[in-house]
Amino acid sequence: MTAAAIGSALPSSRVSVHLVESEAIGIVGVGEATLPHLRRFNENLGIDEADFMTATSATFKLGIEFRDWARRGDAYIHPFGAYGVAVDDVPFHHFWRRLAHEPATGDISTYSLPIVAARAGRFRHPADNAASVNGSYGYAYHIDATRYAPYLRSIAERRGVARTEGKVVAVQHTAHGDISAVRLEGGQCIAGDLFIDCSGFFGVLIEKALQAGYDDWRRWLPCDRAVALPTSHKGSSLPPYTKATALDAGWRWQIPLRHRVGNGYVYCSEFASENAATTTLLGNIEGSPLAEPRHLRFTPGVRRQQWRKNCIAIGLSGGFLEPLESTSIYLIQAAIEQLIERFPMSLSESGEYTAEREDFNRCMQQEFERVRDFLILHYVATERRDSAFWQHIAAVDIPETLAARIDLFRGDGRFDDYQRGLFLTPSWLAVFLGQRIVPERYDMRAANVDRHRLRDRLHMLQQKIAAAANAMPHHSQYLERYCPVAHR
Amino acid sequence: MKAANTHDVGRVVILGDGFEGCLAAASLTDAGVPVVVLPSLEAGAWDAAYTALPLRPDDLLGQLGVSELQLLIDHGGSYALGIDANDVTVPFGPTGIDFHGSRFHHHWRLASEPPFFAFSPSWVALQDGRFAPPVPQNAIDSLQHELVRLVDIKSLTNHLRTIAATNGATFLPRPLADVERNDVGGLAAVVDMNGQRHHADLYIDASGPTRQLLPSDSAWSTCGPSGTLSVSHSPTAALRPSITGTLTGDSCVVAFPQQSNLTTLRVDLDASATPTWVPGFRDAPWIDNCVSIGFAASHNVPLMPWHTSALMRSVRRLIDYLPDRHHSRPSRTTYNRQTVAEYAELQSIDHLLLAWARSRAPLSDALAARVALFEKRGFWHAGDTTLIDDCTWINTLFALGYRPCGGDVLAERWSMAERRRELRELRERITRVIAAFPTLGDYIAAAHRAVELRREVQA
Repeated sequence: MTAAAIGSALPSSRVSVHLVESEAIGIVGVGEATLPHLRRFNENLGIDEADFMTATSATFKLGIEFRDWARRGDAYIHPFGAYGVAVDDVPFHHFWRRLAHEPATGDISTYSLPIVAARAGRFRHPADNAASVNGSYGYAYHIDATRYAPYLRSIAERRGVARTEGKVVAVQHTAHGDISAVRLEGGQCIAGDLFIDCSGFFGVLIEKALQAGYDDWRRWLPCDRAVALPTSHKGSSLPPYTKATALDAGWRWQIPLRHRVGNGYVYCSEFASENAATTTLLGNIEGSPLAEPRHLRFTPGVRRQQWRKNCIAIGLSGGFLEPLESTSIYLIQAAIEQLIERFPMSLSESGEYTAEREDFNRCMQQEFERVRDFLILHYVATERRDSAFWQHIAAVDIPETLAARIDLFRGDGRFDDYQRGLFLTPSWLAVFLGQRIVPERYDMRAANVDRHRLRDRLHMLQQKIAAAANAMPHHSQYLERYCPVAHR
Repeated sequence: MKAANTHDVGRVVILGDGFEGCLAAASLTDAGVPVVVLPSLEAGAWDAAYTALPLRPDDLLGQLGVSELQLLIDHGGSYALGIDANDVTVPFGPTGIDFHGSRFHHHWRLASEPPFFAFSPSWVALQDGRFAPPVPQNAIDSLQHELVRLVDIKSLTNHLRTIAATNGATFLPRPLADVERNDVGGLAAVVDMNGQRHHADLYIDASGPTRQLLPSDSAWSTCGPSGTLSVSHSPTAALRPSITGTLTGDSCVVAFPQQSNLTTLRVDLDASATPTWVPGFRDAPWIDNCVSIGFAASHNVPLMPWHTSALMRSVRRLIDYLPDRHHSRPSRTTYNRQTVAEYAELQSIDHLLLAWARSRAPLSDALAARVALFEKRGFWHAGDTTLIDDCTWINTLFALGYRPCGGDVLAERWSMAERRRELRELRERITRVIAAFPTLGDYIAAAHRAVELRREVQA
C-alpha cells in the first residue's frame, strides 16, 4: 500500500521509492475486511473498482454483524451509515428512544437501510444524493489480502517504484543515529534518506534498529492470538457483511469472499491454548477447510514513536489493536495519508523535519487511542460472565476517556463528538444500542413533537427503508453483473 | 424496554437580560424549558461586542425564526466580508479553490502569483465595496465567499426577548440582590431586590463581566494583559462591507458599521488598576448547577466575531446537554471540555493578533509550534474544534505576513503551466462574478424597496 501510494502521489523528480520485500516472509493477510475509507485510497491510485474487485475476489460490505456480544443470542449490525434522519439538529435516536418502549416502534436497526439491506442479502451502490434514503449509506469490501498486495505491487512498479527481493539482515546508521542503509541477505546494501518500516510485527527498522518502544494495551484488549482458516462456501448465500461472533475466550470472524470464506478465532492466550482455539474454530466453521489453520501472535498496542529519526513505521510495525472492526487496513491508510501530507521537503537529515515528525506522531497516537476505546467498548458493554475470559473482562479498568463516553451516553444519549477519528457518532451509537446500553433519557426537544405524528413518521420511514432495500438486487447477482469472475 | 425519563424538564433561572440572556431564554423556551429571567445591572454593558453575527459555524437565530431579511430591515443590519485592521485586510471565507488534491495556497505559493487575496471573493468584493450574499455551492462555479451580519444589537435583543416571552419565559423586573448557596457549593436560590427567592434546577449566569453567580474564586485562565472596555455610538459615515480595527500595543479599537449606526468598542490594555476586561476564560464554565455563558465565561478581543459563534454554540450545547433536571456530571464535564476548547481557540487567534500588533511579540509555545509548521509547510492543524475554520486561520496568517516557505509535495506533481492556467481562470471568474455584485448600499436599498413593495401588495 505504502509503495503504491507514495510512488503515485509524490513527484518522481523529487522522490524515488525503493521497495524491499521478501517472499520468504510472506503476508500476514489480516485485513480481509475493510472499511469504506479504502475506496478513497483506491480512487487516489486511479484504480477501477470492478477491476480491483475481480482481482481480489472481493465482495461488498455494508457493515459488521456482532453476535452474542452483550448476551448470548443477541445480534446487531454496525452499519456503514446513520440511523434515521435528524430533525432540527436533534439526532434521530432521541425520537426513537422516546417511543422505543412501544412494540410498533421496532428495533433501531429497522431505520437503517444498510442494515435492512444486509439482512436481506441485498446490495446496490449508494445514490449520489446523500440526503436521500438511497444515498444514506457507505460501503466497503471483503478482499483477499494476499491478492491485494501483488495488485498494489504491480501498480507501484508501473509508477516507477524499484523493487528488490531480499531480506534485511543489518541496518547501517549515520553519526546522528539516522538509518543510512539496509543490508540484505546477499550482501547488497540499499541506501536511502527516509525509511518506511512495513515489516509487520517484526519492526525490523523501527524497533530492532531504532528502539522506538511499544505501549502494550493488553490490559484493555486482552486477545493476543488468532488462528485463521479459509473454508469453502456452504450454500449459495453471500452476505454483504462481516460476521463477528463472541466465543468463550474471544471471538471469531467470518468474511465472505467470492471464492472462499475467511474464518478466524481471535482469543486470549491466558484463557485458551493454541490447540483449544483450533478445535473451537474447527467446531464452528460451516464449509470445508481449504488449508491448514494458521496461527498468529500479536500484542495489541501502539509504537511509542511511529516516526523516529528518519524511519516511519506503517502498518503492524506501527501498532496493532486487533481485527475487530476491521481497522488494520484503515490504520495503514491513515499513516500513509498523514505521511504524504507531511512528507519532508528536505531529506538530508532527520533533524530538519522534527515538526512534521512530531505532528505525525501526535496525530497517529490520537488515531490509535480513539480506535482503541471503540474496540474496548465491544468487550466491556456486556452482561456475559459465562467463562473465565468474560469474567476477566468484567474486571478490566477501562480508560477514563471511554468511561466518560459511556456515562454520557447511558444518561442522556449524548456523544462527546470529535472531528478527527475513524469512528464517529453513528458507529458509537450502533455499538452502544447493539450492546444494550440504552440512554435513560432522551433530548427534551424530541418531546415537542406530537406522539401520534412521531409514530406516523417513524412508521413511514421504516416502510421507505424496507421498500428501498427490497428494490436492491441480491448481493451475489449484483456482483456477477458488476465484476464477474470465472471461479466461485 | 422501559419508557425513558425526559419529561422531567427542570426550571432554569437566567441572570441577565442582555443579548446573552435573551438568546439563552429564547432558545431554551423554544426547546420546551421553563425559564425565568432576572435583569442584571451589568448585563448588556458589553452587548455591543455581539454586533457582529457570523453566519457560520453556528447560528441559532434562524432556528428561532429570525430571518435574514428581519436582521437587515428590522434591526438596521449591514454586512461585513472581512476585517480591515491597521493596514491589512482579513477576508472571510475561503481564498481560492483547492484543486488536484492540494490546498489552494500550496498551488499559489508554487505559482508565485501575487497577491494571495486576489483569489478571495470576499476580499475582491470588499475592495470595491460590493456585496451579495453567498449562494448555494455550484451556482457560480463553486465560488464561495462568507459574510458576517452587523446588526443593532439592542433591537435584536428586544426581538429575542419577545420570542422568549411568547414561548412562556417570565421576565422579572427586579434585579438580583443576593445568592443563596447550598451545602455542596451549588446555588440554592437567587433573591431579587424585593426579597423574593427564586429556585431553579439550573442557573445561567449571563450577567456579563461581573459574573455574579459563580463563586468568585472559580478559576479563570488569564492569557494576556488586562484592561477596560468601553463602547460608543456615532452615525455611519460611509457604508463599507467590513469591520474596521486599529490594534496597537496598548489598545484595540473596533468599529462595526450598521446601516445608520457605527458602534465602536475600545479595549485599553493595562489602563486600569481595576480592569473589567481580563482576557481569558473560565476553566469550568459549568459548576454544579450553575453555568456561565458569554462574557461571564470568556473575554476576547472583539475584533474577530467568532466569540458570537462561541456564545451561540455554548447555548446550543447547553440545550443538548440539558435533557432534564438531572444535568449529570458527565454532561457537565463534556460541556466544559468542549466549551473551554473553543475558548482556548479564540484566545489563540486573539494572541496572534495582539502579538502582531506588538511588533510580533513572542507567541505561546503551542501557538508558536502551529505557526512554525504553517510557515515551514503551509500546514495548519485545526484540531477537534471547528469554531474557527481553516480558512479564517489561513487568511489571518497570510494577512499578518506569515507565508509558507515549503509546501505540499502533492501539489508539485502538476506542471507550472497547468497550475498557472488554473489560477488565471479562477481569478478571471472571481473578477467576473464580483463585478456583477451591487454595492452594499445598493443591495440594502433594493432589499428595503422589495420589502416595501411586498407590504404594499399585501395591504
